[in-house]
Amino acid sequence: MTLTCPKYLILPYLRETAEELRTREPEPASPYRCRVVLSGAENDDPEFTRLIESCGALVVADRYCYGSLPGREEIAVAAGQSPLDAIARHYLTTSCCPRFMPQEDMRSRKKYLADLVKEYHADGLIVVSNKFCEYWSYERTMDALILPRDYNIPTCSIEKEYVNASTGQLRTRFQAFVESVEIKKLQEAK
Amino acid sequence: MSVKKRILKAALRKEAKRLRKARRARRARRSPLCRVLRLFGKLFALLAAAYAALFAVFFFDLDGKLLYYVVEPLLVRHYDRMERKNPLEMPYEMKSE
Amino acid sequence: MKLSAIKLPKPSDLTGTLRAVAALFPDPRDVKLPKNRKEARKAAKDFWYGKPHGERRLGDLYCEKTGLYKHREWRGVKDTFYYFHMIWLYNYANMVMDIMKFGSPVTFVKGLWRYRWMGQTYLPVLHWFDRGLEGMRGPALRASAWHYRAMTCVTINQFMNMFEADGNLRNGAHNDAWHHAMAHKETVWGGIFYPWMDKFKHIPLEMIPYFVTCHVNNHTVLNYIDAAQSLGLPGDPCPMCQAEAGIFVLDDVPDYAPFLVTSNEACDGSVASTAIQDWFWNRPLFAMPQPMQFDDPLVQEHCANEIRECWKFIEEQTGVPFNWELLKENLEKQNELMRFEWEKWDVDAKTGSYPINGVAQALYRIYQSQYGEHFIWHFVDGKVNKIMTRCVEKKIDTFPKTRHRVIAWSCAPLYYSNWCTWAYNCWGLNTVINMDSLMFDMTIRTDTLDHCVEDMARYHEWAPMRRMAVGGMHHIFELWDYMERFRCDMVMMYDQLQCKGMQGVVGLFEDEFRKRNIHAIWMPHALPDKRTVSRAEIRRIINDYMTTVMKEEPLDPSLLEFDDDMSW
Repeated sequence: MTLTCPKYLILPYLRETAEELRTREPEPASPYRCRVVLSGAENDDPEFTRLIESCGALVVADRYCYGSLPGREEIAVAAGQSPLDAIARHYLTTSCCPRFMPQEDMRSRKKYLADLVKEYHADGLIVVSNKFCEYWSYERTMDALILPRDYNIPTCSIEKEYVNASTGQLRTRFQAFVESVEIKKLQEAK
Repeated sequence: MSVKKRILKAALRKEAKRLRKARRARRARRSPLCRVLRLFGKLFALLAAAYAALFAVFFFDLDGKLLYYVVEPLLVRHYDRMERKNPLEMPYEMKSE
Repeated sequence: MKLSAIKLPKPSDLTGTLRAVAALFPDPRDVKLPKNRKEARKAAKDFWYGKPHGERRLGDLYCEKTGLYKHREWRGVKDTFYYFHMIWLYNYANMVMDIMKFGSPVTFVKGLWRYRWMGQTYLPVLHWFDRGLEGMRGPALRASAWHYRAMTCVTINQFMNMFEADGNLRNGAHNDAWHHAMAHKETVWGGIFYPWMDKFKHIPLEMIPYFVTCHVNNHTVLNYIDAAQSLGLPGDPCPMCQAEAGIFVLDDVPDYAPFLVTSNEACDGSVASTAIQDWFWNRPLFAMPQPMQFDDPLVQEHCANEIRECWKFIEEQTGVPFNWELLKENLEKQNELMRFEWEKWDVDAKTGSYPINGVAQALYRIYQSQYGEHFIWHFVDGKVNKIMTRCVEKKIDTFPKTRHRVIAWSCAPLYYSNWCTWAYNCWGLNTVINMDSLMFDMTIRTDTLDHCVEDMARYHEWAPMRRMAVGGMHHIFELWDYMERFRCDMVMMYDQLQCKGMQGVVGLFEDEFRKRNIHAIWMPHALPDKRTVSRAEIRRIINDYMTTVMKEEPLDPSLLEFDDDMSW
């Protein structure tokens, strides 16, 4: 919503929330059982995020096509540069879309996810792709194999329709994932 | 063995020996040209037999049948049983060499 | 071992086995002796000239399910013995000679033993000839067979090059051949590597393990598709890219080169499969993507720069500088091939004397133009030129039973590339041209390097499946112009079920077909995967259209329905 809402309408609310965050006390007992980073493809349905959170997983960071990271990072306009040029360069250099093929880009995407998990103190990663997106089908498959193996990050790999159907099946998957993360935390605590 | 059979066997052996001797004598009497021609004849017969065999293989699709029913199943069984390295163990860092 | 331990087969088992073996051969009871002089004259004529088209009953030659022949076709004395000498014997002999020319028999055997795609696919290659050349006679048989010969030669060249350089066959050791090989995705045009062709061999990565196997033995690729999906890959991405990834998953890729050049040809799927290939092959990789919507002149410079960057990468990896003269020399040879291809199209469009059948035209063209320069293309073009010239001069009707001139559009089914041969034999549908043949439809300037790179950029944009399928709607709609040019009255519209690019325009095509009153048959398929839409299903769809819409009778009713479910 913040991507499309007129700035003058939303800025007051954001400033108010920022002020509140300075003095907000954390809740004594979190209603969530684990913290997850949500990664993936085109996901513009807030109900999906709500579905994940209703299963006990708090989405602490979102890195999908319309997500906050890296999509909402500052676009710096250098002196003498046109805004259009700055936007184009920003998209080309910061995008985590799997359509970027150079070797270093392919690896940096995995590292970026791992760094996000670390930075946001997440317990796991949910990677979501929409059916029929070729890029994300492969990227998701690789994320589900490499992130647990090389970065020790529990990963849940989901394929869904663009329209959020089959919520029952998704709920089961997310609940199972949350339980597996809890079990892992308990085992590590021992 | 009875006496009659023994006599018959001896007679046959004698006849075979006589025929072999006669064949050797005939061969010795042949001219070199005749020998060459006979050699070519045998070669031609061999080539003709090979040609006919190849044509039979071609016409009755024996090569296809052999490959389909014998060679391919054997090879597929071998490939299915082969030990292969697990690509999921491949590291994922940048290869810089 | 005791005699009593040997178990003899029961008489009933033996009878069953003998019956099964007998079913593989023609039944002598089916031979009908002539009863009178007229029948005897007819039998003698059929023996000498071969049966006329409508009497051949080619479907009766097939063994149930396997597609093997009870006996190969009798095409008359002249054509049968031509087939025996100049196709069957000639190609078997040349295959052996090619193996010895391009490497050593020992390496060949090692490669055969090591790689599934080698042993399971390339041994029955003569059957691939048989399927594509069924029913062919005269110049059509000869010219089409030459095309198959060229493809076989290049295939052998490629896999022998792979094996000669393969570290897997040498306990991981990298020999001189390995250091002088350049690996690239099969959809990267071979011309990129021309400047290094004197010292290095460019070898496409998946063309032999995947692409060609689908045509020769469609069972092999199924292992690779399943292997890719066993990783968690969904079933909906393009099966071509799944198979390309799957050969790595099954550890069936030779270790034959120190680096890899990839591309986004033809589309997104290639980008996606590169990610997996990059991981499993684990060596320096250069990605050379070209724009899909290429009509915008602003993208041409970008495309040319990608090519220049690729050359820089190759220089860095090989340590050998770019050789402009070598590039020029090879491009000029390739331009010769393109000019002859235009001559062929001219004959095809304007006469009925074009001696190449649909499958040979399609496969040869895509192989030749994608792989790049090779001596065999020129040799075969010389042979075909002679045959074609004679056909044109003597006005020989090379496909006399043509009822409809068909243009095949979109991505073809790899597991049934010889559907055109069946369609001609059964229904008189002569597939005169196809979309993939019309790609790379240009020569490349060699006057200056800048002009050359500009044209090479354009050449990439006009690649198979690229220009028409994803290049923009106005390109896919070039169909109408080509229909007019090649005098086609029917369209075989390939419908690759997992091709996102083409699925978006299905409705548009249907509207246009109705508006223009064009007979179009939609042929669904899954590119290399025969399980989604079988060959029998494809035939049924064509049969249904021809009987219900065109209201025609088949030329050869024995070809209407037969079971080739387990065939190569």
